[in-house]
Amino acid sequence: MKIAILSNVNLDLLIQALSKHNEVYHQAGYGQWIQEAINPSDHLRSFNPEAIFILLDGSALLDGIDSINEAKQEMINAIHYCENLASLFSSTMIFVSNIDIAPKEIIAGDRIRPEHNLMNFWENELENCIHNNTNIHLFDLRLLIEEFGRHNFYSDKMWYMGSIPYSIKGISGLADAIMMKIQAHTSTRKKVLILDLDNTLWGGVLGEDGFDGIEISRSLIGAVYRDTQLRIKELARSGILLAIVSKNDRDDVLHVLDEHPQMVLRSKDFVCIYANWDSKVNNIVNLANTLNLGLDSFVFLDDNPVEREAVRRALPEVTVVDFPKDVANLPGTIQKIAERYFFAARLTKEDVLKTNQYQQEIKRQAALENVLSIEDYLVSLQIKVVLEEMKNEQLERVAQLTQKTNQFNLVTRRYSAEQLIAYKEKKDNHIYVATVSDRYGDSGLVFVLMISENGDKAKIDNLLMSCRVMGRYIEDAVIAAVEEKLMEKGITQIAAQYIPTEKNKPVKDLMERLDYQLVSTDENNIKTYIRYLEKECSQRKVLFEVKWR
Amino acid sequence: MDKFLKFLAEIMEVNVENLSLQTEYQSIPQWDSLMHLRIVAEIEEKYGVEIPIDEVPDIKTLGDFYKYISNE
Repeated sequence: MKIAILSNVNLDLLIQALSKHNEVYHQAGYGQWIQEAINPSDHLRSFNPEAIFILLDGSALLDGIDSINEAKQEMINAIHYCENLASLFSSTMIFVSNIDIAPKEIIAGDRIRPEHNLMNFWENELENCIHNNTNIHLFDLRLLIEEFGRHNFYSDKMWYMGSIPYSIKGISGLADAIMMKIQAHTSTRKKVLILDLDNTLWGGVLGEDGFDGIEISRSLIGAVYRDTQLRIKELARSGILLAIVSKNDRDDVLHVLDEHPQMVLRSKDFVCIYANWDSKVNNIVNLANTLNLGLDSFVFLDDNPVEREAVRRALPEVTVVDFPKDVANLPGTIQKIAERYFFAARLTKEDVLKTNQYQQEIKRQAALENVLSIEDYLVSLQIKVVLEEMKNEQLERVAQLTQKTNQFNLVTRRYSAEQLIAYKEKKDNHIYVATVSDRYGDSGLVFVLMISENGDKAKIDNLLMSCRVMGRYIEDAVIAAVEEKLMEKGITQIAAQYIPTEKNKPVKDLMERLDYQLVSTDENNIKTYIRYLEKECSQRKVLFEVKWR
Repeated sequence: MDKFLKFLAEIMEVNVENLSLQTEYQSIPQWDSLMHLRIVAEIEEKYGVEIPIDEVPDIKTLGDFYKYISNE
């Protein structure tokens, strides 16, 4: 990873620590961060960092300033510098720290410390800045310092000896936090948390202790489980699906979920509930099929080591987390799971509605089993597709789809929000997106088609669709609508490629079905296609109309 | 003393054979001014001693560091 650290204090020791596993840019002199942000050196530009961390020390930032207003102005300026850097490095992740100001000023005991006011001012400004710049992210330095305690994190001696504000411990904690941040931002978010019930969501065994005997309450050990459920509920709100896989009688489980006064999680919070006496491995495989998700999207939490080992062996793609030895650490374990496997920098509208959408999908599948032809079924769904060129507010969702979609993905090119902007800025490049709804509900933005034009020719650079809406011939309708638009512009032929991955078999023959002509297949099984737009289509199924917005 | 040198060798990431109490500041590339600060902090932390900031400039050899942990 290529990282640049910019700071207003000497962080050479941090750079040294990070250099063991990364390529780290070395800012000339320290305190030069403003110059680098306003007018980056050629050195920084040619280094071409993947991530830039702007780590600001509060005391150093406000050194020599003695009025609150002046301090606020200084902070507003600093935020502008960060924004400037972010616009110059639009395809780089820029992490900006919040600031900690150690209280040093000697003041009367009853006066509220001005440092608190200033730290909060910075947080508000930074929050706006993050909101307005998709490539600026938060680095929560203040939280890190709070967790260490200032007396551990700072070192007066290091400061007076070498202008290094932090202790050796503090620097090593900072290096770990930076690595964790990068890891979180670059790894793929898991989608589903599979939960056991007995001694995981509540204390005790339902089958033995009964409805009134299980432990879940607001105080003492029952509070462990209540807090655990609170944390899990927060995770669900961030777009993670919850499922139960438990050896229990289903009716007993539903009784607790629906009626127990202390339960935080209720039946509706779970996308699927497998409470039966079948093996957990079988249940998880069924779950994956029902949700149409790969096993590598699942994280499994169970207090029973035998069950964990069985899942680990039979389904190595599933992430099996260690259960804490002391159950007092269970709520904290959920927080760690959230950071490690379910990190999201920002949430999209689709994230928030996800459980609901998957539940609708399961209903749809149930409806499918009751009708004869697939076409009849699809027509009965009253599918509506709205097609448009990507708007800025859809950027996060589109980036997320390119990063997460594995199955229905023709070439599997991943884009960050910044890279999408770069793509779209090129003349003759277009990003089309489709949102889909039907009589069961709204699936949101689920289809992305990236096309570059060149005279009377066009090329499909990316084509992908969320697996939630697979099998409904949405792609047929979208492609037909986009081709019509291209024809109006005078385009006569479209080229496309299929690049095989381990997971995108569902689209292996998609382009053939869409009446694209196979031109060649190379040694890596990459298929190249062309379609002459005046040619009639014989295979695609356009079952519903697409509306342009 | 061997333990002390081993500890410093780990911090400086050098072979312990290359260090002795006579090793001088800046006589090996790893022991630069930044490392000097780090050694002060690491010794204070590990041995629970204090090396007053005004005495730091007088430390010229590893033996000078060793005095702080052997006297007390």
